[in-house]
Amino acid sequence: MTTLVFELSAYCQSTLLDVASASVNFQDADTGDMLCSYDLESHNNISHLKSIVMYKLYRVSPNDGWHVLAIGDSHQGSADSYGPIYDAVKKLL
Amino acid sequence: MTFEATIVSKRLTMLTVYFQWLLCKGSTKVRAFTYDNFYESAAAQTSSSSSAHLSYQKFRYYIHFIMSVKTWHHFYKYSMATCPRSQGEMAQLLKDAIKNSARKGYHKRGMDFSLSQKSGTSKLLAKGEQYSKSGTMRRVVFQDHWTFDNTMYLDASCLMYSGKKLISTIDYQNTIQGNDAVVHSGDAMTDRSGTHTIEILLK
Repeated sequence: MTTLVFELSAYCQSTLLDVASASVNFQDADTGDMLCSYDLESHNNISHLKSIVMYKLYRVSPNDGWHVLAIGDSHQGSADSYGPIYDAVKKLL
Repeated sequence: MTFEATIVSKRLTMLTVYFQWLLCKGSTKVRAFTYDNFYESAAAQTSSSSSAHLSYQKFRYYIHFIMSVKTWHHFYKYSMATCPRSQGEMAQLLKDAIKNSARKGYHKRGMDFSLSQKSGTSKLLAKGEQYSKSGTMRRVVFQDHWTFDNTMYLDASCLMYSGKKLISTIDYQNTIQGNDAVVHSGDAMTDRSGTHTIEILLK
């Protein structure tokens, strides 16, 4: 495994507009350190979309440490239709 | 390089300057009046009232600019301080700062500055910025929590790749990968909210 991409998406017919409020948390489970935070509330202009690609967790070689990259791009696609998300993520690999 | 290494503290400086500039001026009476005005009209804050001194929109724009500052020139501007007149002057300023820091014992020769930066960098990451914790991360947790009026799902998913090849997509229905190396909680719902938790053991 070299890259893990974390993504949020609104299921079926719903959009990000249907979320009343949301918060995300990305932590080192051992130390409790927050790896990255993301303010979902500040994204009024993308609320008609369905998904947000949040972070990329990756390493360059198997002996290397892991790195976190903040992304925060919004797209179409959801857990019942990953197509648009896969297409978007391809560009991040 | 110095600029990038201290970007978080610079953002904090710029934010502090902005706050002080925005809120800490005039007499107590004037401030109270400004607040009263602002909160009275808070519900009606729309584009029509954007000319007000305090405004959500202006505030948001300003924060956005602060987060996007990438040069010394802009940093000085948003700190409302006078920028050194030339690159040479700026370089001299930095060199002097390093000398002074060494003399006062704030740093030693050959010190790894990335270590002192580590703990502070995470929380203010903006889009496209990186955070490294080389070697030390063994387990990570990604969790999202959402509320709704009409039941809906804000799915947390994890796409796993080896190079450019998709190995697996972990979500509410495909919850386990590779001997529990990745585990998704599935839907944890109440009648007003939901939570998804993904735990990952890094190998």
